[in-house]
Amino acid sequence: MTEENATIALLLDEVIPRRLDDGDWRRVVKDAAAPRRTRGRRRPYPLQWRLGLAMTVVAVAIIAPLSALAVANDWWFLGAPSAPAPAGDIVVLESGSWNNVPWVLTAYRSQTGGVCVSFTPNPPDGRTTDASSGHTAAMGCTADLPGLSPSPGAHTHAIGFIGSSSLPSVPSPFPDFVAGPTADNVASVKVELASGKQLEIDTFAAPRSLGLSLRFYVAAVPSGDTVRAIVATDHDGNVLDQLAVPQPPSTSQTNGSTTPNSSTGGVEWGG
Amino acid sequence: MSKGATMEAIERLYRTRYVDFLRTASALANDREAGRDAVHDAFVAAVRSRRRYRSEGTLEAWVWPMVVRNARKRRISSELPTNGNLAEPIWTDADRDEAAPIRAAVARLPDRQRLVLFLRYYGGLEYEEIAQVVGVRPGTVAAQLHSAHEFLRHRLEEVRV
Repeated sequence: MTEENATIALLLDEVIPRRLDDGDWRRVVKDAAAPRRTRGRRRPYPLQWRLGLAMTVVAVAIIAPLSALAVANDWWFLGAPSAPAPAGDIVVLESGSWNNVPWVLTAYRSQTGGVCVSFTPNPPDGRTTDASSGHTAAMGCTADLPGLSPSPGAHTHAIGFIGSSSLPSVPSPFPDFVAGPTADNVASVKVELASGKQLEIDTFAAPRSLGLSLRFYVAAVPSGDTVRAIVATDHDGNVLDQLAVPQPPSTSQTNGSTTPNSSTGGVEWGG
Repeated sequence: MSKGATMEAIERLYRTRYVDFLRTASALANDREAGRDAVHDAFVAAVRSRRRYRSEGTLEAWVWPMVVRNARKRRISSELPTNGNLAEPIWTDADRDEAAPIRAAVARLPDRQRLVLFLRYYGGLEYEEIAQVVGVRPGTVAAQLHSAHEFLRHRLEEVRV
């Protein structure tokens, strides 16, 4: 070790001193043997954290089986009762096909100064040829991103998300997805999955016609996995923002095959 | 290639390397208790999934990513409710004022450099091992450590001036 490295090692020792600590192996064994759902936390999350979780979900998803969606002016979400009205064009950000089912990611500027993002399989009306297939559309709106018009006192985030989370008991040929807007300086989004795996997605710029300096991302979630957290990073790998994704309730189901995975902390919905 | 890890091997790893895991996780989570929870949860996961371990790498190389992942998740919980400013980690193990300059300097490092630095100095890992944990080449580890050293040296020189 060079002298310089030794100096850094000494300084870092001052930050987190090496203390004798044996841990608690017996507790590890005990917790590992306990049933997962009944295993108690050794230290409950503080109230601050629970509040923090609610506050950090910046986009609220509205998710419904396609068979139940109302269609208005071609795009299904324009018929959603509490969706903010568009202030500009509905812009197609990205499109693709998963398991032979086409999809599009769209966005529009809302009249309330925010951005609304929608994911739609079988565009534009989201109708499916097989109502039991579980294809699911989602939409979310937020104003708490740089360049938008955040609510008074709201914390500005660098990322928002919408997504779907299928129930294991209802297999679907169409994968779950995660998508959303990011601040202009977000280069990539890391999606941390419950399995421990991680997806790394490059963001892309919005078309000029959207009229907003935002970037976006979209990805399919591997079958059987769920999203736990989303991390926005810049070109140098610096973390700009992180969102913990609330887990879908294991016992409830929204009108069919899916449940929303973000349902708290509304910014624009419900007004 | 053997399949699975034994409880004895995992316990041995826990007992011999606990302090290194704890210091690294505490640094990543910005909080010693959060670091403790992260190590605990990582080893609970390791015990539960021990049959999935394949001996292509060492058992330690298999556990480290779990510790890092859990510590990063804990960092979300410890930072967000406080002031929402993720660029300025909160070090709760800060009853030693003389560490403030290095603490502040480390907090300004890019995330990946900080991870490599912690794995090197708190985890005691070699470049090859860090490369496995982070998922990059050893040469990248060396470059990131070099950058981190340079940055810290400059920052500390500024403080001394």
